Amino acid sequence: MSLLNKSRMNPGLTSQFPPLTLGMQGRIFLRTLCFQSVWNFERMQNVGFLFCLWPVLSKVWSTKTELREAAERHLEHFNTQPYMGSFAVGATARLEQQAAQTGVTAKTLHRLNQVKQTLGPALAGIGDALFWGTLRPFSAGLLLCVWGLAWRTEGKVATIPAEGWVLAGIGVYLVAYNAFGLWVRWKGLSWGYQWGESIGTELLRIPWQRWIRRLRKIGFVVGILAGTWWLVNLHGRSGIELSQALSITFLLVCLKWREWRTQTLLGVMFGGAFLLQVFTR
Amino acid sequence: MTPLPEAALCAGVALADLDTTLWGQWMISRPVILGSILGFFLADSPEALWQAAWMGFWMELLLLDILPIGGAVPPNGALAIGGTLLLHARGVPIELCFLLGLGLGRGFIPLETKLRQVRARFLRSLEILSAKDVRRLDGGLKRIIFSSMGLQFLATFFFLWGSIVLASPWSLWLWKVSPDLLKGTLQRGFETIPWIGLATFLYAMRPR
Repeated sequence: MSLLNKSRMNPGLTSQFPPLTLGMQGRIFLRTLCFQSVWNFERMQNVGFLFCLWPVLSKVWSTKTELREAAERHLEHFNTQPYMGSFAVGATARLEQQAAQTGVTAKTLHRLNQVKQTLGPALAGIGDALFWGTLRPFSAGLLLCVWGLAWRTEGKVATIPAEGWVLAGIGVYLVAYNAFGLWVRWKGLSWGYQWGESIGTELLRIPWQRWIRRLRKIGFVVGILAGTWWLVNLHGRSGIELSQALSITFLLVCLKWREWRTQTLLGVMFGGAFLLQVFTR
Repeated sequence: MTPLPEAALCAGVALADLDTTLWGQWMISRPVILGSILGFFLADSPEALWQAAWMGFWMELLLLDILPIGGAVPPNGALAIGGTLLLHARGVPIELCFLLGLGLGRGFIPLETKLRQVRARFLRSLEILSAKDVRRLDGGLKRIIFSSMGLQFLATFFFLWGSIVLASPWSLWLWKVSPDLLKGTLQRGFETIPWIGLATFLYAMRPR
């Protein structure tokens, strides 16, 4: 079958199933960028999922009836984290191909649907914590470091750094985030395809939690350093101002730790500002 | 700023906003990135550019722990920073712009919810097309994706442009007639936003 390319077998993987061809992987990869393009409350990412899978479906199913049934299967509800969706697309492509090779039975279709529906929430759990909950704030922390570097090296408080530093900061943010995001999207397809039904077990071998913990630790330290730098550089011109700023930040961090929402903190701070304004007029 | 470049920038923000959910998720629509890019178009000095960049950064931190999980519709960060900077370009003080921008991002939630409901209607046409001639389904999928993005773009563009055109005269007037107590409160409250942002960042990065 033209989807197979034995020269690109990865010996590190447990499965003996040959990987996707580079052309097919590239086509699906580009389509994964539209994974959420028709996100809707009724069936969430179903259209995006079918769109990603279409090159495989149209290749493996030869008759119109089979193709229609396959399309209808994937127009059912599906939702996961968009980057991690690649794993689900890859694994489902493999299962569809197996079904086409071995013949469609009720059991095969049940397995296919079961694997796909189990993968959605499992991948979302990993992806939400890794991308939205960790990598995004981490990249913002890196950006703050670059900008902080600019303010430190190019002058003191009143000196404005060169405009290029703004670009450098956003460049670092985008590269740090997207390099990993694109890698996951690309490798997710080939690994998902190779692993097929055993994807659940194989995913456990990737140390997601260790990556998240490490990134968080680094980000936390970066946050404390950058925050201290910011408070000292921009607000700590006198000892009193610095101690005030540190106390308020400490209080806010404590409130956040007690699960206070950011908008509540905004309300509290503006309320406090109002009272301060009334009593210091 | 003349209406045409302003409309073009609103269109740029609406285009970048597609990155939030519908296409790519490259993070171009994040406030810190979009704020800095808008700064290059709007700022007339390095100070103004850095102000736009920092506004984007603080906005980013305030929205950092709101995650687009499941069916949750988070506030629109692109609209929030776009609204803030475009209103400021119309002369509205930054303290007020920042709050209005946050309100704009939050105010888009009902419209975004509606858009997600409307998109479900596309499913019917896909099912019909699949039953009729499944070989043409790929073209149908592409058309629906394009329509969905077009709809989102238009909704975001008109929401942002309309809000700026409507809100700026009112905000300028309000600022003019506001008592000093209110202005002082906004200014002092605004000064605490970086601290709130920092607390949010540390919370987001807390070791678990």
